[in-house]
Amino acid sequence: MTNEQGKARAMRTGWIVIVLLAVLTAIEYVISLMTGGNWLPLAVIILIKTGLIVQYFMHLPRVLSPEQQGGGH
Amino acid sequence: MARASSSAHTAHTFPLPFSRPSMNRLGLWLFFVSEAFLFAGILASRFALLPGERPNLNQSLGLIVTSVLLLSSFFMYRAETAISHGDHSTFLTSLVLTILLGVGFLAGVVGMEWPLATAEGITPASGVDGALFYFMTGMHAFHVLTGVIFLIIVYGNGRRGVYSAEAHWGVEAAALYWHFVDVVWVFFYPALYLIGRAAAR
Repeated sequence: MTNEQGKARAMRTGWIVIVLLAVLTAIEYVISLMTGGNWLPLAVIILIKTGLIVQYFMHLPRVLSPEQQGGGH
Repeated sequence: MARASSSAHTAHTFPLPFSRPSMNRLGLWLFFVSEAFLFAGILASRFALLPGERPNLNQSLGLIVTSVLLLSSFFMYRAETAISHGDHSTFLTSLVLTILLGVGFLAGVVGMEWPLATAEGITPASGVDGALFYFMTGMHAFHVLTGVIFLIIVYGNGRRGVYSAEAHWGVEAAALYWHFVDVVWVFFYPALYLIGRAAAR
């Protein structure tokens, strides 16, 4: 994979994640209105949103496998 | 002298189990774990002190500031991705957008939500809901502020050409910190605005 292809792929991942986060936030808001603030469905959405950010934006796999590419020195 | 030279040679010969960036990364994540305990404690006190209720806040503003912070995380990701592929222009543009959105979040919470809440009679001394609201948003806003300062320093370094595709640990660290602050808000936003019935005033 070339540098440009790698960048395009990473940027696409970023777009997908932010769209998912926006949709989940909207769902969260609607659920709160519909259920009168029931915590259980909201807790599920919180965990999904956290998972997306930690996995894709914070690159958790880099910590778990140090061989992966990162920010250098 | 000969011994010192020998030990230096030994240290150079045997590879470390982790390279330096990996150790930096691990150290930063351990810092996040310690920070997570702090925020988890605050979150636990919110539900222990105000069970079944939430502060009566401006819902639209809460949704807007949450969207602004999520969008800032996206631009931070974009900035890090760009520098890791040697694209300085996109890196700097995305970093500026992240900083502006961060400042926008602070303006929304501290500059707008706090005065609105005060006008509604929610003050730090008005009751448990007020105390929790200002404590949670204040503690989070302080982290956003330090993140913005961190990003401004990274921007200055970026303008001077300090970072490259091969070496940009400063950018990665700033990005990790910024996303962590975003994750904290992912928990705080529902805890303050969505979960429970609005407390009567």
